[in-house]
Amino acid sequence: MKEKIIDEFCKEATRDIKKTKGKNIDGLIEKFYNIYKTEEKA
Amino acid sequence: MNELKGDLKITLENIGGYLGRQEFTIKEKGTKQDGKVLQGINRIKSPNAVGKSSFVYGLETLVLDEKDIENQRHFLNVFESEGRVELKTNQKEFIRRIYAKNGKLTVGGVQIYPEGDKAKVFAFAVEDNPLMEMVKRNEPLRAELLKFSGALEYEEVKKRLADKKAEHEREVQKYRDDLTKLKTLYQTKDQLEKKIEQYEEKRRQLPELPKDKVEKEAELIAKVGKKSKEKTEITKQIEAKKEEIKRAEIRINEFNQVLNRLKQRVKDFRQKHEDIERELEQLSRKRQEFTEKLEDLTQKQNIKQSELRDTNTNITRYTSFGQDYCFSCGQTITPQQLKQRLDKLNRDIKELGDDIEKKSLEKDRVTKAHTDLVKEKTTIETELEREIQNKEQTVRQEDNARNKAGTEINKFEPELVKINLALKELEKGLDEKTKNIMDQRSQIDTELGKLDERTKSIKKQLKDLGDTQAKIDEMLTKVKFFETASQHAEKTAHQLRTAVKENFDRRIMEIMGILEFKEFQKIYLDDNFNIRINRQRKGRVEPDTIHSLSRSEKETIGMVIMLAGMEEYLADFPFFVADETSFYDETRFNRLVGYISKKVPYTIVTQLVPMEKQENLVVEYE
Repeated sequence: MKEKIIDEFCKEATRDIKKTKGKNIDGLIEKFYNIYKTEEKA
Repeated sequence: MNELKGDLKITLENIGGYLGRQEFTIKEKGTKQDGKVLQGINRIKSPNAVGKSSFVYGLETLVLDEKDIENQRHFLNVFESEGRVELKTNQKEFIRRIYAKNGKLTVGGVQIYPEGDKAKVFAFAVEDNPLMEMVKRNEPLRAELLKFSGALEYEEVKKRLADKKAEHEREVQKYRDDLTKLKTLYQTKDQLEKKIEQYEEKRRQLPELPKDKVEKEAELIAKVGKKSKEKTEITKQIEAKKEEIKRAEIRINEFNQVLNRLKQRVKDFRQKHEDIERELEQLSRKRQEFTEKLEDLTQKQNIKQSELRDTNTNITRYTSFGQDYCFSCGQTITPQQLKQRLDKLNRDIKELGDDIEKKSLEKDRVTKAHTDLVKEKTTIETELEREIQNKEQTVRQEDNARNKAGTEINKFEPELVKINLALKELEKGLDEKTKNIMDQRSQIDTELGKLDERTKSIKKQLKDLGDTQAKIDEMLTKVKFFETASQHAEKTAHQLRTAVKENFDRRIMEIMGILEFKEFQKIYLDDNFNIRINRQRKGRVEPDTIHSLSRSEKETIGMVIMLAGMEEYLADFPFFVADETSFYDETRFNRLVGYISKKVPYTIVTQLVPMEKQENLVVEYE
């Protein structure tokens, strides 16, 4: 599950790099990190 | 993009060299013509400057992104400000318009392929193709070949995550430093609590005192305290007055010293000038004498000057008119007598002048001596006397202040004696033992108060740092997230790079095989996507660089890499366009075109034909 989260994060981050040169990457990190953290605690 | 089928009717209006409308038909692979099945190879043939490249501009206008057309002013005829390209099939129609504005082009209408930049790199073998240029200059192709693979974005994500990880690790270190601080604070808190316990134990061990005794003792102590305070107050006042006396005496001493100096100056002056009025009168008289003497000398000098003028007149009369007698007395006079008289008069005038100067200096000296003496007399009689009077008055004031302070001290001293007696009487009533215990209690309470304050402050700091461990745990989870994600991004980037490289290498060798380049054992991309060539000759294989290849070979390899890229990234793009193909080896170029035609529905190549053979542009279908 964690691998899937990381994979999804990387995909979205690369899309953001392509579209906006990574302007939203901090937001994406926060979003996916929170999901990852919940999974890590579970 | 499989929307284009069958014949394509392409109409150019004011594109490139074309003025007005020009129509072309491009045929798809598999179309039947004259009983034959076409390969989809459309050859645009013409001599120079008839419109081959303009046709390619038209295709680029249909395909490229707006930003890539913006600077291609030559796509539009130089005499026109608006042009258009239409592409029609049986089912569909696309129109793209271009407008010239401030030396640039703006674009309207529908783009036939959404990724025009990719198509430009891998499907348009034209003069300004970036990949072809890089191959010819032997530049690393990494960025260009990976641009559309996603690997570069994964590399960027990896880099950003690595930076974030490093940043958070630094933060963790900072929190760990806080943890060390926390440890020290806990130790200090423990020590303080131990000390508090020790003091409390000490207090408990002090003997109990009966309440009435404590109250009585406390009352006495309070009275002693009050008296001691009074004593301190009076002592303080006596000390202050003594200090005042000391300061007044210092000042009196200073003023007396100044007074003595002033009085000595007056005394010295009076001794020097015992009878000053007489002295001044003598100087005045002397000055008068000099004045009279000077007047006398000046008068004599004036007479001599007058005689000199007469003599000069006689000389003029003799010299100019030959008159040898004196015009004043009428006596005969010779030139020698005139000369002697003239010399003597000049000498007398000079001597008188010297005398006048000497006497004037002496008169000035006497006048100055008189003025200086008058000035000094005035200074002594007015300013110094006044200063002496002032200083004497100040000394008297200081003396009064000193005496006043002395009187006050005399008033305070009996009072102090009285207080000391009362204090002694009170202290007699105090029980030393009880007082000692009470003092110890009081000291312990003061210490406990201080320790309590320090403990409170440490507890506050501990509270502030309390969630440090939780913060560290959170940070470490984040660091782990960054690390895992960074590794994943790097792994994916590597997979993509490897896949792209392997695909390119495989396709390059496949196409090279079709073209029968037997002199090359291998053409491949190294890890940095530089083109590497291994030449072979008589069983020997040697690495070579692209610089040693002919122009035709370089362009062929450039096109081979384009084709490999087209298969990798442009599987659904319907065209492959090659403009100005005259540099290619004809046999190999035809094999290349054959290969292309198997991969795309529409292969479009432009070819130069000599003017003698053909005057107009013709499209041939194969």
